[in-house]
Amino acid sequence: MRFTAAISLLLVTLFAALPLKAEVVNFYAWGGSPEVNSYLRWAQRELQEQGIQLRHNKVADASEVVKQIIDGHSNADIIWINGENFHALKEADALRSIAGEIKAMNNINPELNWQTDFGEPVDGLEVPWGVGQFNLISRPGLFAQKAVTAESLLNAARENKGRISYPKPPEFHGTTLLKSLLLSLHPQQRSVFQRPVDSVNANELTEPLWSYLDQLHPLLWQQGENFPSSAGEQISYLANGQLLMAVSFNPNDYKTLVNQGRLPAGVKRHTLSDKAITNNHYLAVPSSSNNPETAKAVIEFLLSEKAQQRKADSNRWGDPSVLKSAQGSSLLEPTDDLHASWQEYLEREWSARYQ
Amino acid sequence: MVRTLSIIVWLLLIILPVGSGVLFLLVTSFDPETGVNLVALTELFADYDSIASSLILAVAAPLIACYLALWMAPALLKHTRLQQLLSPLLSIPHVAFAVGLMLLMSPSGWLIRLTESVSGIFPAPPAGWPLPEKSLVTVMMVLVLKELPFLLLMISAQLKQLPVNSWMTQAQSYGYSERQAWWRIVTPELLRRLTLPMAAVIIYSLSVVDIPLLVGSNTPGVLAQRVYEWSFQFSAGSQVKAITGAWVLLAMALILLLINARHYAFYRRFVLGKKVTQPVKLNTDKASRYTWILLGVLSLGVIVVLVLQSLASHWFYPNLWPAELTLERWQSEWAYLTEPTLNSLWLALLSALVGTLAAIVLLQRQRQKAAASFYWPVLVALFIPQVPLVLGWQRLVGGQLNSGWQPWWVFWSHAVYTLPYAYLVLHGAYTRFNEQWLTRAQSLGYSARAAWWRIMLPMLKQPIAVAFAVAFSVSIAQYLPTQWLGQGLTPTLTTEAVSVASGGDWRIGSLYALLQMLLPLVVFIAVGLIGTKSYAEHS
Repeated sequence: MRFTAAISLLLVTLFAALPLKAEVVNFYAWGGSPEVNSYLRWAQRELQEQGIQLRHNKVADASEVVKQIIDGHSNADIIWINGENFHALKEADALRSIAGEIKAMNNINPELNWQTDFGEPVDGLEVPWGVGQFNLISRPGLFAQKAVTAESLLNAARENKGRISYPKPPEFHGTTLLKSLLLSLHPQQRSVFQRPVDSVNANELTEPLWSYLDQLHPLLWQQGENFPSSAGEQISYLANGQLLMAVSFNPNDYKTLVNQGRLPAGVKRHTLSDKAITNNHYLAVPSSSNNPETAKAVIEFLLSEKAQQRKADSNRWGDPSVLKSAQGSSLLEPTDDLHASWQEYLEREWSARYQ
Repeated sequence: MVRTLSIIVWLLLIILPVGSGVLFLLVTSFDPETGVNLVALTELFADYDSIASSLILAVAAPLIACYLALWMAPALLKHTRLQQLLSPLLSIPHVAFAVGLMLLMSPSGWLIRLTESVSGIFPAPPAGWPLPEKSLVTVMMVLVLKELPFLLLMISAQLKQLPVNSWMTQAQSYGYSERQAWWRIVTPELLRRLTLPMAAVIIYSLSVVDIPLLVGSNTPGVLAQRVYEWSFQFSAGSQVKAITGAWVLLAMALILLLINARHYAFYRRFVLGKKVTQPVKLNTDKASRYTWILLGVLSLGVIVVLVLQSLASHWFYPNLWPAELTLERWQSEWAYLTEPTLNSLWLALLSALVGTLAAIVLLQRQRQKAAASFYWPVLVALFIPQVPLVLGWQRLVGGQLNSGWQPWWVFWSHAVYTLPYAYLVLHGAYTRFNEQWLTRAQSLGYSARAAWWRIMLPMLKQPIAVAFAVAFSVSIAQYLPTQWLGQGLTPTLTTEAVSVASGGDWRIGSLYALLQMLLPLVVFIAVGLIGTKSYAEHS
């Protein structure tokens, strides 16, 4: 009797639980920012109400997942990528074409140059999620101008020996700093960098950059013999006084990081050269996803007005919105990234000289 | 029975994982597009900085740690309680230890802040400080401090097996001083028994990636770290470099292991061949005692600084103390900790248990075959770089990974790593276990099996417990296999810690590091409480 009761109780609970069984979506995203993590926890709660269970599988670096997907062993439904990781996945033909199937794409800010990712045509394989603008964050008094030129950076390094550095390329913040320096050193001929490396005289164009770095490096932190490994590490050095500046791709970081207690109050934001190299970070669905429809529902939500607004709140993550409603609120004067082929060229040349 | 079991262990935990890993390496090495070629090899050797720093690290760190441990070990004989001190040190995850050390000793660390607050001479963190955030010296210091407690634990487990006190008394009756007796009589035997633990330490120093990434020089950095970085760059050129580098690492590991096997013979020739000299100043109990105190203070300091970080609202140079302490971070993470904690726990308990049992099976089989030498294939899994190895496993289990079996494959991958460590820890004590005990037991009428259960097992209780604890902490520390085979379904405290720390916010990183430390700490303390009486003294 008791046994039958137990069994029926078990069955009842099972049936009661069945309608609650949510669709699971595996979202692989970098887990290194407490702010991003708590934003995704909010998204999880919101999606729970739609009967979708969003799992944020944290990774230390998006390239780990990319390697997995290319190797054909990943259960990722959504990934957060851009730049080289997108490039590698596109080449491996590992992404679904989803942009045409996402309704929210109609609300994307038309000024947003999202059709190319680091110079690589997106071809609908990913959708923009947020905007990155390259900027410098510095202790007050380091730079006089809002826009820092290559020359004023060198002067600041002279006056503050050993207190300036940048993330080591190929870390993309470091490579972007090199690109910004190129723009600053060639104010007259910027359009040339929109062309592939092998169609222009790259060696001649980059010569001023290398001679500039030869002067700069001995003045840097640890005499330029070592560099911070990542932008996050450099932020820590700025916080504990080792360095007087850090770099960031989030134009609100100079506020959000102070709110979080990661940086002391009073830090300033600057652009390197007169405009900020601007690009987007994206969401993509791998072709191997077992759950593409629900994945798209999640993306619809992440591109909704509500979710984008919360994301842009500088008391939280502070990552700019990609929607029309945010039109004209561009935080820094934007400029396009260099053609994709420059990325590898600059990384290779830098390594050959300084590593 | 033992034979059947040992065959199963060989197949499941050694041949299958190592075979598939090596096969994957071979397949990719001979792939025409991304395969190894002479050009890549010559490039690698032309750029010898990485290889040189790897060698320096893999030779110097283990040797310094080994002799420092031997120099400190006599204190373990006098104060058996000292072993308790090793527990917290052993259970601090090594990355967290590196971070804690930097928070104490780096140019903007607590020591300098203290100096600044007293004297005001460092308004900004000083340059040219001997322990900078990024240098080979810093990596070496972290490795030595992390390997030291492991080796001390190994020595302490071996001392239980040897009649050290009677040796020392005898030697002193011949006119040796206590220290001389230690270095001339006990040390050679200990070195012989430490061959395998030293092998593990050497392989670890050669293949460690996360500590160099965190505090090592990065222009160019050690070879293991570069191989790791190349693995995650997607150009064909980088893939070739990664595979080539993996083979070079393997070759280096083999050479170093061969040298390590002759370590105690070298010691005999060079040290014992010398005349007895007057002891140097440093070679005293007093100096060794200060080192113990220093080690204790340091590990306590690391833990305190991690706790403070996890509670700090913000904490900038040159403040000695965080602006305010808040439980907020703990409270917000709390709700999300259950899943990773439980995963860490069951994986570590089960894989440590299986790893230790498998090691006992292999060692018992060796005793039956009267082979005291060690089975080197047991260790192969440790010196293949993890990236190709785990990719090989994924190819192997491929389709299985999407059918809900992931957690069990993760458990299997942990067991692959817990077995070699358990084997290392147990090998010396098990193969050198004095046969007399068993002979005597059998002459008293016990069967061979009963003698094993009633005599040998209880006498080896200590090393077995240590093996379990070490295996447990090895399982806790696994990142890549857990992340890749688990497909996000088995987040552990370590996978969370590694990914959270990747952003460089050490306040949340410290919180996870402390949690990571908690489980092994409990296990190590439990092991420390197991009887510390030496059986060997009864002979």
